[in-house]
Amino acid sequence: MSFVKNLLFGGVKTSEDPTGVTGGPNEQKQGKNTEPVVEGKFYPRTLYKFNGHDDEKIFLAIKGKVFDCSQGRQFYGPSGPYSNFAGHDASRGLATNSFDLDTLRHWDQPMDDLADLTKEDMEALDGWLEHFEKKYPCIGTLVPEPGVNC
Amino acid sequence: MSSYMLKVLFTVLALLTVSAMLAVKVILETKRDLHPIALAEQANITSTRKERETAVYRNFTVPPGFPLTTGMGLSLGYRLRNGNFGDLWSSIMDLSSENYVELQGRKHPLATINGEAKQLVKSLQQESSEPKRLGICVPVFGRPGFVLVIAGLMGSLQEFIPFFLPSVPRSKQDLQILAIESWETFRQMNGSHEWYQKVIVCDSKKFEAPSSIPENIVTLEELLADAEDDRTFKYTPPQDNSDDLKVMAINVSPFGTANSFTHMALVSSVAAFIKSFPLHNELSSHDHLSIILEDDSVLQDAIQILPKLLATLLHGGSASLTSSHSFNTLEKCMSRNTTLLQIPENCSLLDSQLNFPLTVIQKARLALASNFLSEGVFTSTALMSPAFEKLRCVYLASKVKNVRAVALMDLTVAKPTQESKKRARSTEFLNRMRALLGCRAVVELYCPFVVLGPVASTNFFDYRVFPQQVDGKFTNCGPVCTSLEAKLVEDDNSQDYDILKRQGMLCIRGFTIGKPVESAHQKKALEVVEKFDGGEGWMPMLGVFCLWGKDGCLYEYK
Repeated sequence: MSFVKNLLFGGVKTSEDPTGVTGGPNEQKQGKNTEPVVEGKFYPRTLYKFNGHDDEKIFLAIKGKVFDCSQGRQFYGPSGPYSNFAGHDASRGLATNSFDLDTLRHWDQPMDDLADLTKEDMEALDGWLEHFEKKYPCIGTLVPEPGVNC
Repeated sequence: MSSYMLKVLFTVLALLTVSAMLAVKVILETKRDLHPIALAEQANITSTRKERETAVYRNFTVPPGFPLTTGMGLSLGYRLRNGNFGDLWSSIMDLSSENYVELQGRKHPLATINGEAKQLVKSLQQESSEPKRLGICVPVFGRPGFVLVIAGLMGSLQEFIPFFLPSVPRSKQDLQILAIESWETFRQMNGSHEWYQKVIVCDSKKFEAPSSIPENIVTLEELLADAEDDRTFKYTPPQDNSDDLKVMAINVSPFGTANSFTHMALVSSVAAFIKSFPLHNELSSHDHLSIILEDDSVLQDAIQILPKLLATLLHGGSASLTSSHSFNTLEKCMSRNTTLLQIPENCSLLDSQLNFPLTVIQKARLALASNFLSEGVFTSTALMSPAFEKLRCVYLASKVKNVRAVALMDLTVAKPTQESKKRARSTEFLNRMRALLGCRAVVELYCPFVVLGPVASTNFFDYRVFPQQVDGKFTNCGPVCTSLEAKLVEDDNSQDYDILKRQGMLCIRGFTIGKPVESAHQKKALEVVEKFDGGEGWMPMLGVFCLWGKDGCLYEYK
């Protein structure tokens, strides 16, 4: 036991190095999953993995803005009422108040331009956008991936 | 027979060893103040970060999405408000029957201080109806300085603005009243007293008065001639909370810059200090705060005493202010009732106290206590003197490495310097200090003249001893305080720091940061803010290079 050894032969217990300056195995062990995601541009393909299943974090897009909804896991996480929206562009679903899978586009389909939505739908969507902006951090924008979505 | 005896002896010894080992294991596992898992998770970290920046770190008690500590949370009808000095002082005076303030070894009841401060505000108000700027260049640890500070803060809710000056101004400033220390200072002013409507000489007995005294010179004694002890301070807040946003003080640095602090900054800092105490260790009326100040330091920032002082008095406790040069040992310097001690990190009193020769028994006790502490178990078995019996926490005030660069907001002086290392205490020294003083030790990172109260402070229960390589390169400053949030950014001047390894220049955002006063300083600040992706209220701390530990603590490069 280090305690008895230190007591008998002098010295104290040194804690693990939290800074990584000693270059111990701990530094390399750090999982990539715990690293924060860099804010910026997302493609439907890169957004998809943040669906709460494949990655712990939950991101969704509304009108081209990507929000980190990890705090609202009970709503957007697996088995939550809005779990379909996680990792997707949720604009059409929120605008039409529909949870159907039809309202979502797959990552390899062209992005939804929302051109056919009515004025009321767009107003509802703006309301949702305002709500998300207040509640969740905006972490980037959703843009079509060249060669995949356009 | 002899082999039988040997067997018994061996069995007894083996049993004793095993039971001792088990007892130690049980003690270590059950008596730890903070579990290692808690020590490894001391911050709330955002899940995302911007390019060339780290994630945003907050204190573990303030989850993302929750508001930072913004004040006292007082009720105004059905609403909550942050409060201001008036609220604090009126509550302090309500509890002022037994507590006192000790200044340079002399006790003063709060009723006396309150009566004198009120009298001072009243007599200065009578002079003219215009708003007044009151320059204070008197040490705060003396009675005149302390009364002036309280009067200045009282007056700041009316039409005064107290200016805390590092020295008597050598050029004409926009000040109407100036408080100076003695007649000797008056002589050294060399006629510049004419710049002011009134000059107050605080200690009129220290040096002989000049033969002819100009009309605008008055002694503090004269101003306080009619002062009486008064245990009441009535304050009624306005309905629109406008007092909370009034300027509480303007802090002038020795580098020539000035920052203004609102009452909101003061109450936020007071609230953050109160919140920093863990459960069952909260502030109470039994607490006595001793603040030891370095009177010869040009980097002395008078208003940094306020958050802890007001928080302690607010709980009915008492406080002492002393200069580190008044006495030669720590024991003599602080009151025997002291439960909380704030002392500059590199104060020589600590060295003289802790390097005192120990007896063999004391050394054995020290070894035992140091070992228990390094394992996370608090013990005061190695207490070196009865003078520290009541002491429960020492706050070591550590200044950022480059105070000048932060205060000046100057990119040219903000480059990292490897030549001069920051003098800071190692975690091994802190361990010895905890053991010998029988109390907790908290390291606080201050940025004088720019941020009111600490930027970050170590956990009350963090007794870790780090490997020498860590101590040689960093100072553990603990998680960011609850009234601030922070991130590190990449700086073109410092290519050695890798943002992917959570290294960079410190940026802070919150409620205890001062605002530049002069337009040139403001312009410079705006330029700097813009350079480091401003627009979101972040303030870059130029020249402060740090690293986020995996435990969420801030580590400043030495």
